[in-house]
Amino acid sequence: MTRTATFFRLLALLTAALFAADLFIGSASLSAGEVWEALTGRAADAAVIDIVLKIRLQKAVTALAAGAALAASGLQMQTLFRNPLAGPYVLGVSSGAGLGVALFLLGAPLLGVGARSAVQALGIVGAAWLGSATVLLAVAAASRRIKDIMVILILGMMLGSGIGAVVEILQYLSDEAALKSFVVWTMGSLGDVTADRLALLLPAVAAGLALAVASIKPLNLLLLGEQYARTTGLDVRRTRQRIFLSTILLAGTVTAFCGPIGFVGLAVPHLARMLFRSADHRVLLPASIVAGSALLLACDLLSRTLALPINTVTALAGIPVVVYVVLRNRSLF
Amino acid sequence: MIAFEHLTLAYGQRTLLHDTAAALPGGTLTALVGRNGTGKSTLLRALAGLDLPAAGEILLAGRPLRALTPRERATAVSFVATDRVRIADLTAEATVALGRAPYTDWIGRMQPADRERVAHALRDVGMEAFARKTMDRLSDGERQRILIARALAQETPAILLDEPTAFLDLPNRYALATLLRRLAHDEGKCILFSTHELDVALAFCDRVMLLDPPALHCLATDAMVRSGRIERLFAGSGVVFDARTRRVLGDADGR
Amino acid sequence: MKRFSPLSLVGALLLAVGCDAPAPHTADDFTLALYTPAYASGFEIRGLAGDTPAQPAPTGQTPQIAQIPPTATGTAPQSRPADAAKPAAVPPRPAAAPHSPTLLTIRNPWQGARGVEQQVLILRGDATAPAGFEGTVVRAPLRRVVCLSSSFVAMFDALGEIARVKGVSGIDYLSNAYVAEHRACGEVRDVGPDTNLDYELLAAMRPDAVLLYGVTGANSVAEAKLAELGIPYIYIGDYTETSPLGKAEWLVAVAELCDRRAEGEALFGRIEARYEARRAQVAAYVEERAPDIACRPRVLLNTPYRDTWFLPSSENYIVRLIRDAGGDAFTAAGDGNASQPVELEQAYLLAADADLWLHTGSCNTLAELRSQNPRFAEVPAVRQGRVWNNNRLQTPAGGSDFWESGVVRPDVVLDDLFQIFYPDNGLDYTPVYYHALR
Repeated sequence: MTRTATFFRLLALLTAALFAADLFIGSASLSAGEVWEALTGRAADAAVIDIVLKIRLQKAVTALAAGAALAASGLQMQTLFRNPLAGPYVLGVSSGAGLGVALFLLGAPLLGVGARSAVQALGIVGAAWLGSATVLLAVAAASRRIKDIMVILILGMMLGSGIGAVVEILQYLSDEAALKSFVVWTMGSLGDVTADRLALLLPAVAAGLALAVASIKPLNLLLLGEQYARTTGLDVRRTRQRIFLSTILLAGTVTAFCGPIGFVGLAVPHLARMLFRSADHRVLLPASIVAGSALLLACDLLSRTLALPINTVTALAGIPVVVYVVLRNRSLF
Repeated sequence: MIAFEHLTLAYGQRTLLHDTAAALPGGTLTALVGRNGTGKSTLLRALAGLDLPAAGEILLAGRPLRALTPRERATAVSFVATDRVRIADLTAEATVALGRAPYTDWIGRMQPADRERVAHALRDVGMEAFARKTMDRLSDGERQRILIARALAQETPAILLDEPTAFLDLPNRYALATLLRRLAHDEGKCILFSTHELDVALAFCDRVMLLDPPALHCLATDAMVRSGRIERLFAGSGVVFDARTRRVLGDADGR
Repeated sequence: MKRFSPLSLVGALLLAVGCDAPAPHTADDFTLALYTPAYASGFEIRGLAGDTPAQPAPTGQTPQIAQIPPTATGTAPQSRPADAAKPAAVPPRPAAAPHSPTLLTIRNPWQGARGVEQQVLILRGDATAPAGFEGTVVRAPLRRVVCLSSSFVAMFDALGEIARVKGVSGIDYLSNAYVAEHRACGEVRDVGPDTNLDYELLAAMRPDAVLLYGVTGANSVAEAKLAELGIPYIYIGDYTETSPLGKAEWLVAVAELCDRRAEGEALFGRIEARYEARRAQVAAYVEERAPDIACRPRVLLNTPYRDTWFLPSSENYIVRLIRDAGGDAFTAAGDGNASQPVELEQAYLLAADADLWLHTGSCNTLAELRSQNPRFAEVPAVRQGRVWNNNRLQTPAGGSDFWESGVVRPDVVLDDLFQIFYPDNGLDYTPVYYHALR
């Protein structure tokens, strides 16, 4: 078997193992037998069924989907911007989501927006999604008129910073309890997703991944730079729009449901490159998807065992990867 | 094959070429010469469809360039740029295979015919031994030849190259020139490349296109040599061009 | 005939059971006002029409408050004892039949809420909820409760029902003795912060209800997850009440959930009586000593966020407590409910004018206060050491009992403040929740 195929199988196996571990380990001590019974529908105790199916299974599925989504988005961002330090949030997606949530939690009372308004009806999730989608659409609109991709990258980052400043103002003016809610949101959480939210998250992630797959050939062409890509027949403008749309669906949706989860989108593509030693996105995209799921499942297990917020764990896992990549300084683009 | 009329090119505010015209038939090898900053790269980029000219019409095989879809353009003209492509984990063979993009399916799957073309292109530039090496491990000259092979694999009737001999050593410069001439004469391709190597241009090319802003002159090589325009290129530089011997002479050489 | 007698027995039994089992009711059937709060605006308890009123709730002994000794000048500044001691005439409060369901209506339990209502149907005995009922359904008395705010814990404790509390949020910040004693054995568990609840633990605990709160909006995440797990939740809106007695009055709602409404009413009645008595007494005292409001101690509240001070609105409950204790807090201009940010210089002018500084947050010594707010180090209140913080009772992790039992005992807080504002009122009293910064 080729190196690629072997590693892929190992990675898939690892992901499956971590998924199972996520189901069998938790704060309510359940025996393996009890968990198995609940999964196969033979458990009698309602509490056990609830814990396994409604809490652990949903959390594991969320981690699986979110990890895949963030990694796929990060890979696209890195290739599109020809920057190994790009990630899913480089266009201001998480800042936009943060603004939406800040307006919802902190700003609504400041601005005197009442409870029955559309804002409240959205909930945190809706507000976050709207925020990130708006920012990304603004960047996408700007990119129709701007040819140089570096300018777009810098625009996105500046927009993100500007939004961050607005969010800080909202935080500054709010009271302790609201502030704490917002800060806790920024720490990320995989456990808040209910079944009907999964019914929104999974299709969005699936659609985003489908768009990413459709961009495999364009991404490969972009490796040589935009000039070569264009003279080989790539419609760069349309490719960018497709990648931006994929990022809204992947990074935007995950951030809306789980809060901003950092480093996964940045580190996993590099892990995939290190493992598979390929620049071909036909290998890198599936590899990133599976590795992303595996990494986030592992981080979730760690975060529960160590009682740390998920973002802390992903940072601890991701930072060494990024440092390693920067130090090795291989010409990735 | 490649033709343009009333072509005006500008770089920012500066007009490089104004209302120029030329026609390059298939089966010819043309050298694009001129001093630095005269717009050689700009012209090549315009002919490749990368930039829009300020005015004028560019025609590829009689069809207007701007009317072509990106894919149609990609099957008509290929381009070798001056970009450095140093990507880790990207093999030489994979790079050349990217040239087949206009012909492969949505995910870029290669058919046996595509693979054959890639191998053929690698052989043409003499790099078949380097197929498995990654781009970041090649020297500049080797990389350059791979990128040329990529353009060859794209199998287009017209090929544009920007300073293709820049990184090549002496033997390889002549090898490349020989290859380009063979492609032009034996396979009927229309090839235009910019160069500072006057001897290569004069020895191998059928036509010479000389940029003398705001004008552009395109003549058969002999006619260009006799026209005296090449001497004007060297005016005031302390060297002269001897039309008779087709050599560049310094003051020390018998003047 | 013999053959039919077992049948007729069964039939009779069925009839008997059928008659006793109450039919399900819709929310509109609850028209009998069982408890309409006098101070709180966020809840109401109603019973079924047709329940007969019972005896008035026992108020027990009228609570006495300490009398202020006469001053040296001979005037007796104390209030007329008769006024203070006389409880307000209590109309006979109706009581529902023992197993009758009641409806607890919660209104606007978070800031900025308008038109938000939660209907909580409290079932008893074998009663069942009506088919179309869309609110929350719980069965009283609640045996296993999770409290997400420390004030809820204090309410259960005040009622003597603390043993019903099985889960809390942030156990390190709770001063409650029962909770502290029962944490090691796992009787009372920490379910995590309200923004990141441990749902596995909640599912395993299977509480009868989770009492939660919203700050600027609903806690939509918790709502969704709890609904999915089938755990009822009830919003307790004491946080938004601006009246000190209104906050405490929520213990009656909690009492209803424990099937102890009469006791809850009585308890609150005593708290109310003490509070009102003290208030009247203070009013009379201050009338003598400082009739002009300009002579009352001026109070600066809180510490700034970096360089911005926030003046509380005049409706703020702490401001009201201060007013009732004979003080005069610096408040935001206008009538609104919002706090007003003021610039450093303006705040300095106010501080220079303040007689007292209260609620200094994390500062517990004058040195800390000076180092955190260097520009205010020399204001008169600091120089004279008239700075008080409300965390005299504090857990090691920094949870102040002021926000816990202090919510249920506004009368004690009032006592504390009166003592702080008028230290030579002659009462032999040491503040419970406040300590002076040294």
